[in-house]
Formats: sequence, C-alpha cells, structure tokens
Amino acid sequence: MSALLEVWLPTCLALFLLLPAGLFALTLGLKITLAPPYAPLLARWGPCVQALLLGNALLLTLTQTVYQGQLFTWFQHHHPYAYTVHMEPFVGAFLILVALLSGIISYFSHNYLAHEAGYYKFFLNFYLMQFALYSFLLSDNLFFLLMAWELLGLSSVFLVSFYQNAHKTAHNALFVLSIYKYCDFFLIAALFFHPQSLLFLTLLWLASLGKSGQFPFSRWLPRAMEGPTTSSAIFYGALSIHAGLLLLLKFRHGFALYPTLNAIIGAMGLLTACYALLKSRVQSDVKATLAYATVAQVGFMYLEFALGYYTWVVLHMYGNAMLRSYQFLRSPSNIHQFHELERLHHEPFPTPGRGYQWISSRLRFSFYTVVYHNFGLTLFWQKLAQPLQALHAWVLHPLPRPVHLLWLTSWGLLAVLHKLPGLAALGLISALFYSLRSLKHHTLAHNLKALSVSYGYLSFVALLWLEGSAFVDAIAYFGINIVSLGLLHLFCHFLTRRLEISDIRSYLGLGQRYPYMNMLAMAILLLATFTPGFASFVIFDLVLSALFHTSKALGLVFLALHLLNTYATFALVFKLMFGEPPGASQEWPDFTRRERLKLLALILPMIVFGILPMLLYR
Amino acid sequence: MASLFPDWVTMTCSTRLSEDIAWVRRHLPHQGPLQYFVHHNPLEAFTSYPFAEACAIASQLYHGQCFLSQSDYLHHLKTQRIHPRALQQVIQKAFPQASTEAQQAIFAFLSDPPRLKNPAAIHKALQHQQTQIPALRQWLPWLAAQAPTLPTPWKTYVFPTHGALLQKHHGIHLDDILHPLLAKLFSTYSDPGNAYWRNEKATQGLWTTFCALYQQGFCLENRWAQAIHQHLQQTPHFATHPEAIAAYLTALGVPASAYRPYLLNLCLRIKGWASLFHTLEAHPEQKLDTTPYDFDAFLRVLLCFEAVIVPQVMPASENLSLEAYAREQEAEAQAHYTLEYQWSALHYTLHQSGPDPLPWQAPEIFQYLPQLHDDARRLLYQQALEATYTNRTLHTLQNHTVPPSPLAQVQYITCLDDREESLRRHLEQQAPHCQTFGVAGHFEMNMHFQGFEEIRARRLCPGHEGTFRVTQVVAEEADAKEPWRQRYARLYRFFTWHSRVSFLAWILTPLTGFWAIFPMLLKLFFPATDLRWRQAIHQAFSPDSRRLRDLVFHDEDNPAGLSYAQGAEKVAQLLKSIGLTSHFAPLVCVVGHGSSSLNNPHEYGYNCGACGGGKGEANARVFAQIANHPTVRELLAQHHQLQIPAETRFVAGYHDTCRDTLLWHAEALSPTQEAIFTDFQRQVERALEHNILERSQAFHNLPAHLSTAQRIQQVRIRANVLREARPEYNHATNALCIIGRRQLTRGLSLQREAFLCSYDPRQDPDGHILSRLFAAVVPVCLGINLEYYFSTTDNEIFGSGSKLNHNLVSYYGVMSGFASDIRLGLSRQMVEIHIPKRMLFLVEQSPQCCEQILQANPGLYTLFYHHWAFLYLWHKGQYYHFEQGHFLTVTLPETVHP
Repeated sequence: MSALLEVWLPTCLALFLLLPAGLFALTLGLKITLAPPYAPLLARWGPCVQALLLGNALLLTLTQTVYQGQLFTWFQHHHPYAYTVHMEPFVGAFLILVALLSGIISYFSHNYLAHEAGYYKFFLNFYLMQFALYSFLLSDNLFFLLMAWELLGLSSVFLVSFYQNAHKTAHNALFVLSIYKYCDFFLIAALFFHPQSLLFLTLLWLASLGKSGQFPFSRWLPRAMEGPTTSSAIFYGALSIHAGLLLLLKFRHGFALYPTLNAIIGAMGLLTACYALLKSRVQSDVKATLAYATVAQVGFMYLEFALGYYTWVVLHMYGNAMLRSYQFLRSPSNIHQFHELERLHHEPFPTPGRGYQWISSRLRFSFYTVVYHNFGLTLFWQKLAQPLQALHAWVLHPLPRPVHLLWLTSWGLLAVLHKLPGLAALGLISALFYSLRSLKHHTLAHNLKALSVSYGYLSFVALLWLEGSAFVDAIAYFGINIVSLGLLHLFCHFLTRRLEISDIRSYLGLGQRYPYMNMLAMAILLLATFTPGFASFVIFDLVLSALFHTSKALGLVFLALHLLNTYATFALVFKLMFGEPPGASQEWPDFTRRERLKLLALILPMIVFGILPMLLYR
Repeated sequence: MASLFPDWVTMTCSTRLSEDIAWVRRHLPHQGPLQYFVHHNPLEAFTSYPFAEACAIASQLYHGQCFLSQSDYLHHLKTQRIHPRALQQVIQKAFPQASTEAQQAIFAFLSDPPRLKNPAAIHKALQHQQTQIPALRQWLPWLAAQAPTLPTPWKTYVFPTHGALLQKHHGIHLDDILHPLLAKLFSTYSDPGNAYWRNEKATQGLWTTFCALYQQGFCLENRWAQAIHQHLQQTPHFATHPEAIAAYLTALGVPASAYRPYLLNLCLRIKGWASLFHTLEAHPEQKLDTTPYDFDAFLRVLLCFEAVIVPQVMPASENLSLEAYAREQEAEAQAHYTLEYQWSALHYTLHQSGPDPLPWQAPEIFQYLPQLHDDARRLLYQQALEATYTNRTLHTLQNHTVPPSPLAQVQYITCLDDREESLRRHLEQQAPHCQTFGVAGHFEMNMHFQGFEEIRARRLCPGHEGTFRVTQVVAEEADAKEPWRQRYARLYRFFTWHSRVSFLAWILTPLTGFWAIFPMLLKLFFPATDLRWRQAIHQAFSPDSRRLRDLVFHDEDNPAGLSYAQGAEKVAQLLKSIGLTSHFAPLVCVVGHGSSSLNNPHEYGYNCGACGGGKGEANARVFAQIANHPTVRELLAQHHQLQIPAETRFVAGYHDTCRDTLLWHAEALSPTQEAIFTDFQRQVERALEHNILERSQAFHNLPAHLSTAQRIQQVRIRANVLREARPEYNHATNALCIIGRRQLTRGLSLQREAFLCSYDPRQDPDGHILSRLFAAVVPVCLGINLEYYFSTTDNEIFGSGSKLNHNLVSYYGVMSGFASDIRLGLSRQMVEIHIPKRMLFLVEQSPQCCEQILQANPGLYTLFYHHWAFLYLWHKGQYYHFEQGHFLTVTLPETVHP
C-alpha cells in the first residue's frame, strides 16, 4: 500500500503542475501558428483535463486526511531553489475549490470566447493562473511562493488588458499592475526576514492587502472588470481575490503568536468590509457592485482570520467564491431578472433602504455624497502625492547630454575609488531620477535611454558594492540587463525602421496589426523585467539578497527601484503595442518572415540565458 | 476659476441657442434603453445626403470606417463575391465620360490597388522609391502640384474639441479624466434600481443633482472634482443662468459660428449617454422610473466639466485656438490627400509600365485618380459587391419556375422578417396545402399592450400614431397563486440584495453561498433539464394561459381600446395589403415572432422590429381575436367587401426564432378545423426542424458528427445555455426585400437573406396599398439593414464591440468594462457572419405607379435617390431600376456565375 502511495502521490502532485503547464504549452503552440481562434481540440480535452485535476485534488485530499502528516516527506530538500511541497487539510480544501471553479469556468469559456480575437490569449493566461494557483497552494518554499504569486498577478494584468485595442483597458491594466508591484515589494522584502518574526508577518500582511483588494487598495478591483466576464468571474469573483488571504493562511501559526498584529489585521478587515459595503450600495453598474461585494466579504474573512476562526474562513471563502462566480457569470442576465421580478411582484418594488427614512433627507443625501465621492480618498492620495508630482515635474526638465555623461562618469569614478554608502545612495538616486524620467512618455528614443540608464545605475551599484561570489552574480545581473535592454532597443529599432513611431505620448496600438510582434514584445517584456518564473529572476534574487546582507536599506531601495523600472518597462511596451490602432492600420506593411525569425532568434538565447542560472544554482 | 469666467454677469450672449441645440439633437444617435432596442440607421441624420457623401461625413465625424477594409474587398474579388464584370459595370457608371482605355486602366488599378494608407508609411515608401528611381525627385513634386483639393462635405458638422487637440499635441486623453466622473454622475442619476441606494435628488433634475453632489467641499472624489466644486462655489448663479451654455462656450473659446458642430462633436465624445438622455426626453414612455430627462441640462453638465477641466490640463505653452487647430487639421488632411494621390499615381505607373519610363505626359487615368483615393475605391468595391448580388438575385428570380399552388387549407400570415423566410419555405414544402403571407409583424395592431402582471404597458408597433391600448387580465376572479409569486419575487430580491450589499451578507455568504454551485452546475451541464424544471415551476405557479384574456374592445370595459368598426378597419387593411380578400381557408394562422435567450442584454434587439423591439405574440393574438369577432365579421362584409366565411377561423401563434418553437393560441375550433389544425401542427413541427437544420449550418460549435436529432436538440437548447454568446444570428446576412406575391419566390431558397412582404399588385392598380406598405416596410427594413451594415464595417464605432466584457449599467445600457460610455449598436458576435450590403428592394408593380408613390413621399424618394437602398421593379416580365429619379429598364447579363 505504502509502495503504491510512493508512486501515486508524487504523480498526483506532478499532475497539478504538469497538466496546466501542458495546456499552456499547447495553447502557446496554437497561438504561435496563428490557428483560427477556436480549437475543438482544446475545447474537447480542456474540460477533461480539468475533470482530471478535480479528481486529483479530491484524491490527494482524501489521502491526506487518511495518512495525516506523512505526505511528501520525500519532496523536502533543504535548498533555496528546490520545489518543496506542503500538504495539509486546508490546502486540500483549496485545491478542490480551485479545481472545481476553474474547471467550470474553463468549460464555460471555451464556448463563450470562441471566435474572439483573444481566444488563445485568454487560455494562455487562464492556464498560467491555474499553474500559479496550484503551485502557490502546494509550495512550501517562499521563493516558489513568490513566483506563483507573481505569475498570478501577470495573468491577471494581461487579462485586464484583454481588449488591448482600447487605451482605456491598457491604462486600467497598468493601474492594476502598479498595485501588484506594490504587493511584490513587500513580499520580496519579506523573503529576507525570519519566517516567524513580526516584521516578516507584517510584510506578508501588507503584501496581501493589495492583492485581495483590501482598504485602501480596493479601487483597482472595478477597474479590473475590463476583461471578458469569465475572467472577471474567476479572478475577481472567485480565486485570485482570495490569494492574499491564502498567503496569510499558509502562515497562520505564525500570526497566531502576535495578538497585536491580529488586532490590526482584524480592524483593517472590518474597515474594508464597511467601506466596500457602503461603496457597493451606490454602484449603478452590475460588475462594480459585485466587485465591491466581493471585497467586503474578503474583508470579513480577514476579520475572521484575525479572530482565529480558520475553518470559518475556509467555509466563507467557499461560499463567497461560488456565489460570486455564479453572480458574475450571469450578470448580463440581470436586466431580464429585474423585469421578471417586477412582473412576478406585480407592482414596482419599494426603493430599498427604507430603514433609513428616520434620518433627515439632508443628512441622508450628505452621507450619500460622501460615499459617492469615495470618502474623498482619491483626493487625499492626490494631495499626498503632490510633492512627488512636483518632484516628477522637476525631474523631467530637459538636461543637455554632456551633463548626463559628466554625472555618470564622475559618479562612476568616485564609486570605483571609494565604496562609500553615500555614493551607493547617490547611485540609487540617479537610478530613481532616470526611472522617473522614463515614466513620462515623450519619444521612444528618450524613454529607452532613460530606462537603460536607470537599469545601468542599478547594475553599477550591484557591481560596485558586491564582492566575492556575489560579484559574479552582479556581473550576471549586469549581463542580463545589457542583453535584455539591447533586445528591447533592437526591437524598437525594427519597428521604427518600418514605421514612423518616434512620438509615443499616446498609445500606438501596434499589437493589433502585428500579432507576432505583439507576442515578441510580451516575451521581451517578461524577460527584461526579471519576471519571477523566468529563471533570470534567480540572478536578481541573488543580487538582492547579497545587497540585503550588505545593508537592509540598500536592498530595500534597490528592490523598490527595480519594481519601478519593471512598471516603467511595462508602461513603455503597453504604449507601443496596446491602444486604439490608427485608422486603416491593416494597410501598414508587414514584417517579413525573415525579420520575425531574426528577432525570435535573438530572443531564444535570452531565454536560455534565463534558464541557465536555474540549472547552475541547483 | 474666477479668471476663467471674469464677467459672467455682464456677459451678454444674445445667441439663440435653442435652435442650435435642437439641431444637435437631430444629429445625435438615438438609441434609447436596451429594452426598447429597435434597429435604426446610425447615419439617419444624414439621409438627405447621397450615401457616399454621408459616409464621408460620418467617417470624419465619428472617426469610423463606413466600408470594409480594402483587403476584405480584394478577398471578395478573389472569391468572385465581387464579380469582375460587376466591377466593370460600376466603373462605367462612375466614370461615364472616361474613354474605354481609361476605364480598363481603372479596372486594372482597382484589381491591384495601392495597399498603403497610413501617411507615415506612404512617406517612407515614397522616400524608398526615390532612392531607387532618381527621376522621381522631380516627378513627385510635379505630381503634388497636380493634386486637387480635398472635398470637405463634413465642414458643417466637424469641429474639433479640446479633447482632440490635447490628444494630438500632448498625448493627453481628456476623456480618461472626464468619462469616469461623467459616467458616474449619469449612471447614478439615471439608475432605476441597480444601486441599493438611489440618488434621491434624481427626481429634481440633472443639474440640481449635479450641483448637490458637488456642493460640499470636505469630501470630493479627486482634484478634478474639487475644481468643479470650486467653480460651482465661486460662480453659484452662473450655472443656472439661462445663458450659461453660451457663456461656457465663450469661455472655451468656441466661435459663435461653430456652436452647432462644436456641441455635436462634444456630445459625440460621450455619444452613448447623450443618446440615452435625449431619447428618454423625447420618449418618456421608455423610462423605468420618474426621473426627468433634460438634454439642455445634460449639455450644461458636459460643458461645465469641459470648461473647468480643460484649462487645468492644458499645458501653459499651448496657445492654439480651436479654430486654428481646425485649420491645422484641414491642412494635414490636404497633405495626406496629396500624398495619397502621389502614391496612387506612382503605384499605377510602376505597375502598368514597369519601373523605368515615367510619363511626364500624364495618362488619362490620372485625372480620375482623385476619385480613386482610398475611401472612394472602397465605395466602388462596395457597389460592385452589391451589383454582383443584385445581378445574381434578379437572374435567379427571373429563371425561377413557379410551382403550381394547390387550393389552400391553411393560410399562414407571419412577419416579413428574414428569419421567417426559411420557415415559410420549409412550411410550404412540408404542408403543400398551406399558403403563406408576410406582413409587418405588428399586424396593423398599433397598440400599447400591458401583459398580465406587467407593471408597464409597452408599445408594440413601429410608430406612435393612432395607438390604442390592450390590457391582459385573468378571466376568472382572484388568482390564488399570486401571493406565492410575490413572495418568491420578494425573497429572491432580498437574497440578491443582501448577499451583496448589506451586513447580512456576512452571514448569508458563508452559509448559503456554496449552494450557488448547484444551479451553476445545472445550468452549465444540463441546460435542458434546467429549462424543463423552470418551465414546470413556472407552469405550476402561473395562471393557466387559457384563462388570460386580452381586453380589446370598448365593449369589454376598455375605453382606450377599439370600437368594432375600428377593429374591422384594421383587419381589412391587413388582409387587403397582403391580397387575401377571397378564397379564405378554414384556418388562417397569424404568427408573430420574438426571441429569448440567456445572458444576452441585447435580447430585445432579437425581437420583432415592427413591434418596436417587443414580442409579436400579443399582436397576433389580438388580431385573431378581432378577426374572429362576429360583429367585426359583419362589419367587414358590410363596409369593406370582405366576405370571410363563418367556417374560417383565425388562429394566433408565436414563433420563438431562437428556440424555433411555435406556440399556438387556438380556441373554439370546429371538428373539421380541429382535424386540419392537428395535421398542420405536425407539419409545422417538421418544418421547424428543417429550419433548425438550416440555421445550424451557421453555428461554428456544432460538431460535424452529430446526428440530425442531436443537432436539433443542440440548437433548440442554445437559448438556455449560459455560455452561449451567439444564441442566434438574428438578421445577419439580410440583403433583400421583396414586396410582391409569394408566387415570385415560392420554392426558391433565399438563404434567410430576404424580407418577404406579401402584396398583390393586381388588387392595387392605383398603388394605394403599396404606398402604405412602403411607408411601413421601408423604414423598418432599412433600419435593420443599415444598422447591420455599419455595425459590421466598424464594430467599435458604430457597433458595441465584443459583448464579452459588456457591463450592464443602470438597466438601460451596456458599457465596455468600467466607468465609461454606453455602447450603441450591435455587438461583434451578432454581425460576424454578415457581409454588409445595402438593401435591394424588389417590388412587383408598374414603374408609373411607383413613380407616383415616390413623388408623393419625398422621404422615401430621397432614400432611394441617394442610394441608401436600391429599388427595383418587376413588371410584366421586365425589371426596372430606380436611378436618378427615373425607372430605367434593366438588361441582365446573359449568364451569371453562381
């Protein structure tokens, strides 16, 4: 029996990662061959695979309940980059939930999205989300947890920008991305602290707030409704929205040790719930109402978590995920439901909220206005950010080229001679300066330059302040930066040779015309930003941890700047590829097969270069 | 803000704006709430222009494409959907003064046209060519000098707003700032019950609501809202001032001569909401609550936002006035036009005579090149596409041998809808003794109908004139099940609210949430079972449909209803218009149609267009009831010379075009009739199945290996499948409307492309009936046809884009995603199999008669004169074509390629 288990369980486990990854690869293949946007093969076998996954989840959980505490010992390696697995009843419960709901949605979507231009884009991101969620749930290794977390965020961002031919969606996707990057900052920073420490747990909680749309980050959720209804259902109604809470649940034993932290978490949860419930009451469109309703429930779950009712949290999550995904899926029917209910009721329904009639109408309306205006929160943030904006405006002042060069050389010389912490800080400030410059879009050349210089300063700081084996990592980091930025330059060069695109103040919408270029741009984007999941992230992680060992502050600033650059790169590539294509863009000359292959050929070594460190450091 | 409006009190604006605003309203789209979705021509305001010119105006005004892309047309040319001979025909017609060689040259040019349109791309290509052929360095400037000026028919309509200027010069999307604020204001204002908390000021008008929402200063959305608040505070009376609109316009730097186009262009930036507000003001019966709608206030709000926020985002360095920007744009358009001219000429030269010999002596075709720029080329292709279709159709009809029609046992009157064409065809095959007729699906019942339990009456006819009211009631006394239905409605509503917005959700969600998995699984995996169960429950708790009665006549205690004489007149009108005045069969079926599907906010657009977006069931029922009434029969015989035998019975039916089911309302049949009816029902069932099989060929997701029975089952259940984005294809592929006897088309497959309106010219020598038919049929069919046309050519601008991310807002419309404009028109999923063609009307009547009718009806005359549709006549074995105000005989080509 146990021998059987020894073969069976790892297979079960591997299936969770292999099946979504396999479907992902299949979809990618179909997308690359520009197959017609409906694949009967995928539509027929996709749901079967999902059923298999559900069975898998059920079996695994069953086994777990029977053989408590003995599972997966053979998977545990004490190595930072080894995939280690943790299985317990609550993980099982979520595996079942994920398998069930994502299975249902995938079945739904194959028909719903058929013949949509982004059919494969949707499923690529859908399977990516599944892969991320399964590895997120099962992983016992912070490093892989982070990767899964980041992949989940990426798939979400790409689905928000699903209709990439409108700048509004790209704009909202970038907003969502900025919140995710904020989460990443805390989660990556948490990697460098002891997993039982208060600081670690606080960072974890802060990271989870954004992802779960908690106060004060709830406003990204309605904006994420730009994607198709099914992606709204699965991401923001059912699964992704709970990811932050799942993260906390993984470390619940740690949290239980700190009652004060729990009190704060609970209070914030309650605040979120109140805020979101009030907000949901004034929303006049279906999806925004549902979005805030979801946030409110997640807020309550945070409160329950803080109080230590973990089982109740699980139950609540089940209820919320199932109810919301159903409500999202049938939200287009609401108009008929409204009329049907009115007919059955035979008379117009009284206006809801009659319980508040005793309050004077003036006061009632004032309160309504306060909620309508989002409690003035956006204004508050804008006021808070005003100095930053002033700084940004100042940073954007044009400087003659010699000044840039002079500054770079003098700083470089000084830094080589004296490795003073002050100089490192100066380097990072310079990086910030250029990063900020690249956030405002003028011309393509200007942006590329600013971005490259910013990455350059980051690399130099790493190169100059790291020693020994870490120095080798820093060189690798520098190398990857050069290669990926070079690739980005080359890519833009390819585009500009064919088209007149120096001005990038508004979205250019090139992706609509050039599907291959779009795919290449996304690949370059992911490579260039050290996306966790791409193995180049290992290098970044090593450099970062070495910097952390040197100085915590240095590490944190380095990390923040890196994330800022990631955002800037995303914004740049989105500007190029997304947005309304100008009139008759189909009539632009296409790139030849040779040119595309040339670009692809350049990317391949980049991918290899990314995978190499993973193999080396094992 | 004070500096923006320095002397508003002393400002003397004498401009009379109300006329301008009325003009703006006439030119805005007018799609109202979704539940009154009626197909209309998106360019209806421009029908006084020739089609080509209107398209030129629209493409500038809306920034949309009015034709397919050139590559699409070239594909059609390759697949012979555009026949080369038709293209030649079109060229001959468009360039009559050109020599034969020039016409051939144009044909060659169109067969291999220049592919580039983007100015930057053309510029690059020209530079590249110059390096290849040095002689071009002199030739191109010479060409540029030859280039004509760009015709600008849109000048009266197009004027830039600051949004365009900011985007073009600074890359700032002004609407990204404005739309979220405006959409929030408009949606909470218009919301009839989507939000739990209603905007209580909404009953006091839009402007009051707006001011009230921005009154308090301690809590405002963002800094733009703060600016609005400050503006309202500083100029408290400004906004209510009667001349406020003019003052805002002055503050925005709009010249008085450009008020009209400026306001139009401003509204078009948020055209969905503008359309909703002005439509609801014009048609208050479409409102779901008592909120007042005032377009003036809407404009004032728009202008207030624009006037306050534009100075805030406009960079200080920008000092270009709107007028100067308009001139700049014009110059740019002219430059682009010249560039395109150069490129066309070069393209022609290089492709015709090889790379080297450049003609300084321009060939004849060069003088036609200005009329062969991109849009003009696409118009020619479009005309050729339509001409090919016309040739084929006329040819097929001419060569069609009419099968003999036996004596009818059943007469079947249905809507002229293109979806009924196939059913009629199959029905005639299955039931050889059935004679079918098509007529506008409201069956002359111009009524407001209030169904049993409905809380509002609904207009079920195209126009507003001479409407009467019909109420449906339960025949016997109180309905015992009513409290149960009410309880269910209240409980359901309680749950939907409280599982979302109230603190109860904390308990409701964990305890009841996971139950949602069961209906979800049921609906997804067993839609047929779900439907069966729901129908069973519905039946158990609803009153028996046989007990429901329509109160039609004055005598039935319905003062807003009809007198018997009026009823008789309506029946006579209908029967005469379809030519059914004698040889009545024992059974006359009157079948209305509608459609129902899940997860489809545009469902109302699938219903009967002639019933104003409603279901034609009630119309058919009421018609049958009137026609069966003994007093009406007497009156018909006395005053209308219609002897309907006593053994003739009118039976009402309802065809669900999505499920393909027919529901009958047959009462009081004699045994003979009963026998015929039973037989007929069986035949109808078979016809419906054939109809389904025909429809199923268009659906992509039905595997090829399905058996016939499975196929039928799969199509029938589509309406109840939650994950189905295309329950049916509605009017897609419509292209033809035939007004004439069924004998012309009986037995001929028109592939669901044709609206078939029955009309017997032999009974209408003076064209009296035809004139009425024209007035009713042409606008409805044209509205459908052109809405499909433009929604296909540019789905993002004239249509509503993909339906998958549609987000229902205020129960009135859908927006794409989050806080933005309401989307108008048809979704991509509705039009994806449509090939846009303007409608071909084929009428069986003499040219003299039709000419008189058109002369008497200038609206219709203009439509055909300006080619918004094509009018052909079939008279005594000869086709006539309406062209330039006259009917010309048509000579069809000998053979037509299939």
